[in-house]
Amino acid sequence: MRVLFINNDGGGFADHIEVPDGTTVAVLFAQRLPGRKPADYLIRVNRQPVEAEQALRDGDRISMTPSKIEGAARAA
Amino acid sequence: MPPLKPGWLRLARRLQAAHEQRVAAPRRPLRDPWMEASTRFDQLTALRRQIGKAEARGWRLAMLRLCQRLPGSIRAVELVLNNAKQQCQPVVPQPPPLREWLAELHQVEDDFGAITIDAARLFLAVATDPIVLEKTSLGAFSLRLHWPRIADGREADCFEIVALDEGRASAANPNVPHPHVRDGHLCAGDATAAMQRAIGEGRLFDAFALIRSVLENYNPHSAFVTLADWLGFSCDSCGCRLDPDDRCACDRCGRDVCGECTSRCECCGVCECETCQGRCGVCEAHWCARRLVASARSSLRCCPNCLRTCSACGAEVASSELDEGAKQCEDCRAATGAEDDIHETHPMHEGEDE
Repeated sequence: MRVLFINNDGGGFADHIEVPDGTTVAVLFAQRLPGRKPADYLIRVNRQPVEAEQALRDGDRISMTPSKIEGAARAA
Repeated sequence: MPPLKPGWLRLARRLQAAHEQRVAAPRRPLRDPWMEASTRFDQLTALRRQIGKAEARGWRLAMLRLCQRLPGSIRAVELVLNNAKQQCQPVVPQPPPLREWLAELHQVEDDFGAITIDAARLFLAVATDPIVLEKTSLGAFSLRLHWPRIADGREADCFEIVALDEGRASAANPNVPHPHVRDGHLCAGDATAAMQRAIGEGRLFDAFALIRSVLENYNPHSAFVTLADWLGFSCDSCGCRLDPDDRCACDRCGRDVCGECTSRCECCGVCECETCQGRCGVCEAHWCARRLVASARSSLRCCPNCLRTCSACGAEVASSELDEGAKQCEDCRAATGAEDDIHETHPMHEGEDE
């Protein structure tokens, strides 16, 4: 099935991807953000908060945004 | 979709129009990001050279301070390269349809609370919860999206960050209400590229969420004012309050001091605070403590220029302790004087033994 995946980590990524039927939010997270903790991310499916074990459906819009990002200061 | 709030439809149309203008505008040339990348890389190279010099001269504390600046300098290079990479994108996303803009506004309101629309100053705003970083309470912030700037392609400058609580800004710099915000501008650091992409693709909620993620985190290696200096910088010697830009660091002990309380060694150029620095007991010039030598005949410490050698015993003494005529130290002069007294009291005649 085809879903829109938005990864706001790093440089940002937003594109349609193919995932197997029955893929859950947790599985997609582990595949796309390996080694990261879901608790450190704001995860939305179709703009709504969801459970980790929720199965994705064709056409879903999934976004994952880090909740802690390092800012900076421009050098003088 | 939930019912529309007053003014939302008009706002969504303005956002869409700004985005359409952006898509229609000619792409900016790539020259600026590449020049900035070159400048940042030169700065990083210069910093590494300084670290090498400090290490070679044994200035451990100076080297540690310089090394602390290294992550921030490397990050600056990463950011400008990411920006350049973004500008290399061959495809400009098409503006989302109106219903997507309305969906974005609903999502922003669901997560942040009420959206304020300022039709006069042309921005929409949401507020964060009060932010506390390492026990420093900064208060809440207003995140303002100036939508006309989207049309100009100024994704990095679309947002203005304004403190909502008075009196929480840094005492060291009142224009810095947050370690990563100065004069209303957020330096988004690691979120810069993602934020620009989110704005460029009309993902308002993602952009606001990314800003909030930066504000709720603290990067001590790259802050306009660090939390350690948030209440202002005090000179460790005289206690006066200064801006961070006027602050110096002793190359010996690493303490933060003002310019009045530091002196530079005339020989090797090391900057030292009043506690660490030495002063020649003869000429009173400032010398680094290691270069001062104690007189062999007293506790006086003097610079190499004021050290003299006694012509009698060879001891190194301060020039002020050397007799100008005989070029002898006090001990030798005393001994010579005692011998003269003996000869005067008991003059030796020819043939007599001593």
